[in-house]
Amino acid sequence: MSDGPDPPEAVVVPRSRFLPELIWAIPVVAALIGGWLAVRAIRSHGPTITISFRDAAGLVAGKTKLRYRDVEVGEVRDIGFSPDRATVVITAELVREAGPWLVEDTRFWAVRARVAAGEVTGLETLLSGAYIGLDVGSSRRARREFIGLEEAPIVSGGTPGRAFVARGARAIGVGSPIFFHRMQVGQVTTSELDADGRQVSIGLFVRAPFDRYVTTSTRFWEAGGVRATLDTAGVKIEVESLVTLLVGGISFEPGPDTGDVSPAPTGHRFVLFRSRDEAMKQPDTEAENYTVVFRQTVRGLAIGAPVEFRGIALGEVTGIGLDYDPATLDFATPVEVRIYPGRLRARLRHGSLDDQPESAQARLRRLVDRGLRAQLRSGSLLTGQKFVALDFFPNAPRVKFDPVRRPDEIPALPTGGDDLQTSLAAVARKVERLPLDDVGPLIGDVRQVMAKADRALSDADRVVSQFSPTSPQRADFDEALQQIARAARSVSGLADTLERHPESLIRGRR
Amino acid sequence: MRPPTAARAGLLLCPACGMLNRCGRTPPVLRRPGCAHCGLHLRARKPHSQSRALALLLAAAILYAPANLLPILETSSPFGSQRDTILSGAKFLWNGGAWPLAVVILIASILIPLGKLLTLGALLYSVHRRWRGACLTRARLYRMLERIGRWSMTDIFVAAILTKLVQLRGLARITVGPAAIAFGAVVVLTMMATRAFDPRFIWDPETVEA
Repeated sequence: MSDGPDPPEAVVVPRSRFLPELIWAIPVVAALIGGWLAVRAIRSHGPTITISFRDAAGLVAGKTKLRYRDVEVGEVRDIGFSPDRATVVITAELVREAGPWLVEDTRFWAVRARVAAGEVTGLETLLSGAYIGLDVGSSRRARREFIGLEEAPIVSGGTPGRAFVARGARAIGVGSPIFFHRMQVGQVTTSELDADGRQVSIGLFVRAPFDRYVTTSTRFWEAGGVRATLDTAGVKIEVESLVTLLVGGISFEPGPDTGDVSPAPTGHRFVLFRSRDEAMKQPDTEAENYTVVFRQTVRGLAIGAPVEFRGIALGEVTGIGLDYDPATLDFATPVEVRIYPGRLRARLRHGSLDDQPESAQARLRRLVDRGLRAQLRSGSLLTGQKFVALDFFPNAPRVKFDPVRRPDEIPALPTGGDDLQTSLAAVARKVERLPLDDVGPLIGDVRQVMAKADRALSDADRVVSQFSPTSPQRADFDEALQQIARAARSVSGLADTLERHPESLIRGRR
Repeated sequence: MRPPTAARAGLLLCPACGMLNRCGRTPPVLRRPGCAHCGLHLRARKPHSQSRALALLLAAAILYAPANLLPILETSSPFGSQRDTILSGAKFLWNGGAWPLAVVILIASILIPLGKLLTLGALLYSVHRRWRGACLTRARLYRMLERIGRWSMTDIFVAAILTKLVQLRGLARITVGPAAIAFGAVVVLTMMATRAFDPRFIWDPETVEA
């Protein structure tokens, strides 16, 4: 077969212990691993839902996450349109645990960076892109199609506390804080105009444990911004907190009546007052309307100006009109006032207003006979605001009471510039009554008095002449007077500006 | 006429030291010839070649699915976290304009492993059915399988390097996903299957049994 020597004979080696079938363990292990991975992948797939949004700003299919309490619970899979193209429909897949969360009142909203006056939210989305937040509802009925909110809900579900409604004349920004003793205890959740367009219903949410301080007698008022009030009491500036300065807010406190302190039920409707003072006013149950006809300027009298009886606010001015009498070619200013007898009654310590059963008109007639008159008085020298003062003037000229006129008239007594006239008239009447014929012997005395007066006057003249126009005292005196005059002008200018532009306190003059 | 073969002449080549051994006079009861030089167990063909190759190939095929379906890289940064499969990564590169890179990934990480699985499967089938035709083509295919096998590991290396390099504390983090292990297993298993396969079976129907 071959030329050279044969190759060496093979030797005998011991049998290997390896079982050739063991190789099949490898695909079995692979199948186990593959199966486990597959099961895990399938199990990790959760429910798929659709959410409708007005737009899909910042949302990216396959990238945008769904987060519940900042924990990632799903991902946007697809973004499409509704059949009528009215909304954007987002298809999202959630993790398996999220299955039971998908109920009727579960809410979804897109979280984007938002800079509102009071707060900055979603800053992290500037880097990471928008995400969809969700808040799990409490319903038991499952749901797979949702309508996304345009803005994040103010109060997430499960926050302990109670919701109330306050109705007022002006809207409050959603998210504005609610204060109780200057602590922020809640937020405004909604602000909706009533169907009739007259009032705004403001949804309030007060966190536990503060919600138990909201009783049926609690008063809510607007704590917004700076309240600069100019009234007969002068200038009053109130600021609740710096946040409310920017966005407004609501405060509440227990009402003045301590009788009813049962906690308010959820959804209780409150009145939203404009200010704390207004909120704390006693509710005026009975009101009586009267007219006061002034024959003088009513400058400085505003609607809402107080009507006081010897300094006690009894009511307010509700209207100012003008009457023209063609017969006499004369104008009169009838001022409508509303008086709350309850306020007088509340302060009464002795006696009673109601000891005699009589009509309001009859009572008024008796009071007018006793000299009850209305006067226009200056409440504040600074602002020139006027108010209507009621008092008894037994010396006032008697007036005829007109029982037909409605509302009943409280006769007016001229004041202010006219005051001088009345005084003069009184003086004139007194002079008239003087027994001038009997004064003959008195004249000599009068002469002596006159001589003394003459001396006194010349003394005074001497004193004054010491202040010669060139003397330093005189110059100082003049300057001081000028400064006072200037200061007075500035103050009056400031008051004027504030009255017209209260906001200039914050923004400065434009 | 059949050409002479070593097997029929009772000659066995030691695969370790290259020694040519005679085993014609080995008593049949022993049937465990060893190399006269190094003592390695000598066989005419790789033992259980087909079943071993098939088993390893099946394991690789099973793991091929998770390797491609599960995320291979998990990136987390302040810009959000992302889980990428091999395919989505390639897609991302393609959309980003880096299509040559995308093609490389597509070929090296998806097509080549798949091609290896199919080719080896076809070879095994042909050997099992004792096909006689296209022996040269099949032999070339097998040589190609052996040569390109290791190159599929690039993906794993890239993932491993990225994982170690991109660890900006608290800012960005890259971790390997479960697909990385599956993918590595696919590459290793196909290489082992290729080695287990004895290419001499391709020629056997023609030379030994004809």
